[in-house]
Amino acid sequence: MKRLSAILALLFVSGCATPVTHIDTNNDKGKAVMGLDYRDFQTAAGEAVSSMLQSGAVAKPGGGRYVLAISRIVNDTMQRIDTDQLVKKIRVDLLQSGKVVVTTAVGLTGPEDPMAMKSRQLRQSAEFNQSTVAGTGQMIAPDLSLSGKLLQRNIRVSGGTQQVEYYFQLTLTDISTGLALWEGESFIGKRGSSKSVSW
Amino acid sequence: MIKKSPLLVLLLFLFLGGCGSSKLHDRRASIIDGSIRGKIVLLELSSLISSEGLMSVQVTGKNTTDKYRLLEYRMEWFDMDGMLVPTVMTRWVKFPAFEKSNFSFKTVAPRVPVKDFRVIIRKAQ
Repeated sequence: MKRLSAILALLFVSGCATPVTHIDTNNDKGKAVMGLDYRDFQTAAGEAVSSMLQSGAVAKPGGGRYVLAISRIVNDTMQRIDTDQLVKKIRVDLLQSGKVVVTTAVGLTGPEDPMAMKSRQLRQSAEFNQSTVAGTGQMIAPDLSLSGKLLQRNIRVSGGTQQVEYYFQLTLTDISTGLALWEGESFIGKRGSSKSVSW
Repeated sequence: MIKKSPLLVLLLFLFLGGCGSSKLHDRRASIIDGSIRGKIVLLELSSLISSEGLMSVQVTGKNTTDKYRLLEYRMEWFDMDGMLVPTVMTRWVKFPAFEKSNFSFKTVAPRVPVKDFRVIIRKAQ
């Protein structure tokens, strides 16, 4: 009797549980959410890269590649977001475009990868073949800087409906002149129940 | 009867050609959604290489119905060896097709060695 109860309980529990499935990112028919999900970051990144390439802002006169530094990307939404979710996608595509190379040795709060500087301390070490240690004056300073802001506005449309607006604003600045070579804004708007949370 | 055959074939050819002249038949562009086939037609596919060497593609079509439709396209790019080029720009992108109106969208290749592309269109999901 106990065994039968256990089997029934097991069947009941497994029947209730939502099965875990992988997301088909190429054909995701999952319902939109009020917050930001990976589809929104893909949209914003895709629009930004497409716009940058179409504008010619990343085409270096005479050929070659621009060196890009990642500046401040402010998350001014109500959501806890790592802005790398957006920036990394842009970086990958810009790098693969052959027009831009990103420096990880320069950043607002220190280098993204401190190893380039750290490995230069090996110059003092007798343990290392000095011809394999990075020499002085070899690092390349950035030509361009990518900065931006993610904004959110919540608007109550009617009694039970709210509208959430997201703005992805990005700017590409020529570091030598301080002039913005390219600016772009992607808008993502969502409308749904005011009971849905957007943070 | 034998003499009439070439004329008949020619007339048939002209008739069929005349009927299909406004529709685009290009292996690189297709409407994969049966529910909009015939209602949405592709008219023109133009591509050019910019001075920076990037390929730009513009697709023009028409919504022949009297109903606004939200569609989406997905563009895939291929390098000179025919290999697929992965990019964040290969995704479903929504665009409007207003009733009884032409629509266009333009997109740019993700890198210079891109030599070919394929675009598929469907009703927005």
